[in-house]
Amino acid sequence: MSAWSIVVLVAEWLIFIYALTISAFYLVLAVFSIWAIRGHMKKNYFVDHRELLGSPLVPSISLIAPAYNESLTIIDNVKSLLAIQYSNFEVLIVNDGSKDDSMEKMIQAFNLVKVPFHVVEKVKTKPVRGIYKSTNRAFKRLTIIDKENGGKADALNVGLNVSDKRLVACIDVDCIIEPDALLKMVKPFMEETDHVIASGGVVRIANSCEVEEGRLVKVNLPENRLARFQVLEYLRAFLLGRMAWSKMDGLLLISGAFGMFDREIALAAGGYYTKTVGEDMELVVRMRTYMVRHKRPYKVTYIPDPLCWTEAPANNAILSRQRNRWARGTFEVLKLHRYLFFNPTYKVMGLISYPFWFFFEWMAPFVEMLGLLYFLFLWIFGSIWWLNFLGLLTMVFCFAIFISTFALMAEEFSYFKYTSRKDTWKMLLTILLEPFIYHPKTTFWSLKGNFDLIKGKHTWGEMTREGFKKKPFIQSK
Amino acid sequence: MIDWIRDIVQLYLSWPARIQIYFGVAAFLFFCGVLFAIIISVSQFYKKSSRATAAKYRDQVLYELGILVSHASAGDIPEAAHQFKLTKLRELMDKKSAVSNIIMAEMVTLKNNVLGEGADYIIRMYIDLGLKEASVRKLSSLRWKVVAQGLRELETMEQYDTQLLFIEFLQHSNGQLRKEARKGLVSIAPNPLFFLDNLRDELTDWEAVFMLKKLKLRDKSMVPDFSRWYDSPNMSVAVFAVRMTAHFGQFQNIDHLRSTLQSARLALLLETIQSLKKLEAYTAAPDIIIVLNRAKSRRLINAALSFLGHLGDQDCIQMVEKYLHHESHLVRFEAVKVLCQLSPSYRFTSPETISMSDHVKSPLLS
Repeated sequence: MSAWSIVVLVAEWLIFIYALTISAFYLVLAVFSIWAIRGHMKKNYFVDHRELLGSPLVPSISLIAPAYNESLTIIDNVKSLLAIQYSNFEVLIVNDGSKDDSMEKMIQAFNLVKVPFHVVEKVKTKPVRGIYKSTNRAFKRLTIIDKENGGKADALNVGLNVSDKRLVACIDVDCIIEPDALLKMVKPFMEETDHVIASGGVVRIANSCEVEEGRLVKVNLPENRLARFQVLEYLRAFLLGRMAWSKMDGLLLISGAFGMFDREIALAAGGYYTKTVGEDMELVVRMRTYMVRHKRPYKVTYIPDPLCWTEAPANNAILSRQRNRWARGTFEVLKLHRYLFFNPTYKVMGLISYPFWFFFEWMAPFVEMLGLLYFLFLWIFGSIWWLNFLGLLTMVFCFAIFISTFALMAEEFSYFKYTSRKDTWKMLLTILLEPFIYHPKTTFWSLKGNFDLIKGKHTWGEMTREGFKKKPFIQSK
Repeated sequence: MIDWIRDIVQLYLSWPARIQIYFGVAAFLFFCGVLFAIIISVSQFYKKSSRATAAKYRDQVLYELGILVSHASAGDIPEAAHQFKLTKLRELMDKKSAVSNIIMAEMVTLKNNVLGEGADYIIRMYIDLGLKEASVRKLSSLRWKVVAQGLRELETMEQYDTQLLFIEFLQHSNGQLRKEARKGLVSIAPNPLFFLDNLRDELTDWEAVFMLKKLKLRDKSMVPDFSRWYDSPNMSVAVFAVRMTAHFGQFQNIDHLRSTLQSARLALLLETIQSLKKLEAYTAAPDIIIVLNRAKSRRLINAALSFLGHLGDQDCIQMVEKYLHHESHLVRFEAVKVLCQLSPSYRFTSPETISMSDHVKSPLLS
């Protein structure tokens, strides 16, 4: 056997073992996830979260929402945040140096005046220009912070500095938060006997859904095909992925769109790290490592209820920017916390979660690219065993179908937001097409993100949105 | 057709073992995927039809119940009318077994939203329809969710005579059922919190919210004297008792609360100071000063300072001034707040304390 043949054989086996391990991981995650979802649903079957309303015992919460150039929708968004059901909360809108007229619009709409707020820089941030409160008592929960532009993480840090509540819920201002989201999200913090330091909820795609005054009134499956692919992707990620990691106590990522944190721990850990575009994941990892280093028992929880709805990128240009950023963010966080790699001190986080993220989240696009190059190489030299190739391809394709339909079934038996039969058929078609149309694109954008990082790209990339579908106005005859 | 299948099988068998495995696994996964798709479709169909049936019966049940409850709220219902409606509801129950669940669910919802004679009438219907027996039967189910449901129903329908059944679940191996039993007992036991004496589980804030709510609904004479749990070995129980003392305004326990300030347990100390503040126990100020003098924890210092800000006097100013130079800005801020409260004309000197006092004095930030 020549040296070349040995190299080829080893490479083939490595790729095969890699594929087998990743599939096994996904299966285990799926099982854990179903277990976790069932447990959660049983436990909460009788719970009426509204009973928390008006209770003097609920913890105080600051909703921190950074805003940058959101002039078009900012007033509606703030009003929708103020209408959230909870008895002890405040809304902190951090205007991150917007270049549009967001600030002027808010000052006018909410009768804002500058107040002598004493801000202590517990976390270093870009300077705060001013803090505004409303003279109208109807908006007494609202505080607007105007600061110099420093990015999302910096804006969130200002929010952390200004807040004096026990918990902080960091959200994207353009997301639609379910009215009872805080009531549901606060439950783990009140119920668990371990110290809960962070909690996340499921984020769903709001494209084509009907929205009325910042409230989601009807859930529809997106009409846009790219957004439908993302619906499937989110179902897999949130229902099968994060629920399982939470159950295994290895959750590393709480979506930046909506997450709740213990403010004191977030500050003690140093707040959001501003030099990464993956600040949401980085904060969770740092808070966890902080607790481990201080030998304090803790928990990071996740609830499967859909609490937050976001508009997914509906065209390739915007989606590519988002995926590029996610890829860069993942690598930055993994690099920053490389000490976790198979480190038994950090238990599940060090021994399973971090290696999983490294091998199967970050490395996967590279392995796929190598596989493709290897295939092309063999093709050019005419040494492809087509039957073997077809067998492997079919197996991978069928595995993708299996996992995606499993996710859809998990959705059907938990929160079944897409109820029409037409939607189900559309989703099944999406499952069949995804491996050929959507997956190659996201793989390519992830690879590009990594190469951009090597080139030194650290920006977020502009994210323009089309806006939600407004509920049609019905005229009376 | 059979030839076609035979050809495929023969082709499959002619392949090397490795390829057979690939295609075999792929076929299995694909079959599972198809099976999942079928399950989803069947589930959707079933849900849709069962939802329609449930809605149909729910409307009927609501119609029958709604009329009765509104009549009951307005005055007495003639016995004949009551019996007539009972027969109607029983007929509905005989039609489909799921109807009794619908009636139960609707009655629970109605009961939670109705007070007075209307609520009493719902309880009467609950008993007359034989639903109480059904709730009691649920307690012997092997599925804890069903047992919990039974407990909830008995509690909502105020079945005081079933408290012994609840007590059995206080030591149950399932934590969720223990919680349900505790919650139920708060509503129906003559001594609502007796189980706190031997409670080993941690009493979470979540449970405390519901206990407080249920206690508020009970007659004032039923609310126990919380001082009996101040020394409970279960820290969460002691903290809960101290907290409830303030919520129920048990001023007679102020002296007992003052003695709790000797405790070395931080959480209990914090809660005690909070409660004394809520009870406006200005006589506790000397004890609080002692706590402040020996306090190391930032949270404890803040709580003590906050108490003094509300209930202290001019004599405390000198003591509070010391904390203007504390290493924690939160303590410094609290000290400024207290000084502004005790002496509105107090003159701060450093830029930081001036900025803090501007914040404190701003009406929009208070």
